[in-house]
Amino acid sequence: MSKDYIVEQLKKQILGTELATQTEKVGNVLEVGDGVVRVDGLSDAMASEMLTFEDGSVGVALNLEEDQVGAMILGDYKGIKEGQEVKSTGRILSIPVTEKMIGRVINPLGKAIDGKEEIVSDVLYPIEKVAPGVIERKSVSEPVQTGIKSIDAMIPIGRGQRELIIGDRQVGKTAIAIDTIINQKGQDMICIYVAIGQKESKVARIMSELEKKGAMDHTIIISAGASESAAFSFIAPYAGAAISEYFMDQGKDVLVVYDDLSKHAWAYRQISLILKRPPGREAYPGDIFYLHSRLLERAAKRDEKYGGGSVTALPVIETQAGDVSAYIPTNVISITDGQIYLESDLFNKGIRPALNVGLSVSRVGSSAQTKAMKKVSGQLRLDLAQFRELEAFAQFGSDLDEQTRAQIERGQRTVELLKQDQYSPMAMEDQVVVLYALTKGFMDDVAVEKILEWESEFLKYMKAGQKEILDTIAETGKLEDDTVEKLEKAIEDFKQTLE
Amino acid sequence: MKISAKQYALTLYELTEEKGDAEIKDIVANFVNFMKKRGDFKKLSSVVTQFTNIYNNKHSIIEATVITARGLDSQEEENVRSFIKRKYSANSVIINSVVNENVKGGIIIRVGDEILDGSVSARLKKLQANLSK
Repeated sequence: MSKDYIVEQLKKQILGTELATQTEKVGNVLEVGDGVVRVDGLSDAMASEMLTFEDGSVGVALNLEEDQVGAMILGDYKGIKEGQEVKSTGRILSIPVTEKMIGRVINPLGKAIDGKEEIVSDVLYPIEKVAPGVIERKSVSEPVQTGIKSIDAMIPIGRGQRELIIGDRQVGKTAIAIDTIINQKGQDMICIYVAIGQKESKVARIMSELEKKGAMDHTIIISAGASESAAFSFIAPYAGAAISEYFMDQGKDVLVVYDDLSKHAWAYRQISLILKRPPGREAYPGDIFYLHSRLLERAAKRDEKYGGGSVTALPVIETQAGDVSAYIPTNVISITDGQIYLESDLFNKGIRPALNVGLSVSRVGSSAQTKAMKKVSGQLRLDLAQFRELEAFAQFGSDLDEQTRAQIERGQRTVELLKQDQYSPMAMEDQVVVLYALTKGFMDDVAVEKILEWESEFLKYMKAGQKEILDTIAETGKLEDDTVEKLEKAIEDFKQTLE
Repeated sequence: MKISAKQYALTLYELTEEKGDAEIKDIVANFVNFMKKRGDFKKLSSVVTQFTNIYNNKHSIIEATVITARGLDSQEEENVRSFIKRKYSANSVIINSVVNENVKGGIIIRVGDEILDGSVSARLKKLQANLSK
């Protein structure tokens, strides 16, 4: 680049700067406290309008009162002092959005925090946006493959659905979300993981795990760390929703994980209390339900006529001592289209994922489930339900009649087969053949503790010699009679090789 | 019932409206006594501010703060005055002239919570923001 060129460019830029003066509305800081300021003046401020302070920090107007404005500060608030001037910007809080964010770790304002190059974009999306209406939507019809046997078979999730992951601390809630993200590799799905008030170490661990599995190529991580201000935690999920809407507007499918909304509610409670909004149940403000409902309503499956695309939301809620009837859990359960309920008792028994099949439901996902999976999952659900009823009798062993014992044996094998290691999602066709073998009784003569071993050997055998069966299931998504015949023969052959 | 500063100010304005000087003196004394009795004495300063606002509003008087680097001479002040009169269609304008060298040049006019920033420093800041984009 020649010197003259640079000078020319500079001249152009200087001459191009708009310098005309306009009247602006200003206010003065009255008080500053814990991430929240009160400003007098600013008579025409809008709700959730961006405000700029003298030291360059940005705030968001939340409370509009007669002659005061209550605002939260995004980021550091040490530079803000009483009496300083505050200007309104005339625009609702928006963040830049771009494809370049894929594979990156950003903060809720769209700035890179992974030490790589800056993310620049001219496209701005507002943080708060009204969700798509009735006309634009259509009911879920395509599945999201989580790669987890128990979920794909019994609690299927569809694109555009909102499925809650709920459970105590340390029962593998995040693990399910991360496995789902890993399994989206090559499934034409952009994943957004929103970490709300999480430990930075946890975010770093998740990032390295996703990188190791090659899943960062389709993933964006939005992190509002535990050390960051509550305002960041508050806007993080909305930023995630804004970015997912950007991709949905291009007709793409997006999966967004909000981990977790309990911390989001805490952050909002903190801001509300400091703003002196009246506290309600559990000291949460009155609009805490709307806080989550307007966020999750933005998950949608959009009709092709309106551009297509979908946003699937997986919100996470952490319960205290298994109490799902607390305020925030009941709220979010009623908003979402079903929940995946994880239990610490099951987790400690070694059943991982620690899914409580009885309490977990998916209200809309079954219409999106692949035909092949539907064929095997019905029997599976029945087996498990019968097993749960009879489980208590299992210890009487030999005193039971033949049929009851068979049901218990089948149940034990089902529970064993549904165990799955973390970070090892399974393809749909693999799940189908394994579950078919189980539900048709081909595993009844395998010892319970050998089930997982049998499974992996069987899959190895199928992939080596019977790839065509797997391919047919993967392509058509169906389990036709001729495929069934071939599959049964393959299972028999495999059992021959074992002997 | 609590009485807000604004309500006090409005009452005072309505009481003193179109009254003679001697009368006003009595009214104000009574008013202050009343406030004292109700234990609202600490609201006095905000009542004064509110009263000024109400008074200016009713008589369409505009109070403007004008910030310059070197101060205004009488001709400039007259120009500014007529500009503000036109802009806000006010009867009269009270100008508080403030000298602040940091504005470097030009003029900043502030009326209530509205600001018209025509200073050199503001333009330099805009230029900086644009160049560093």
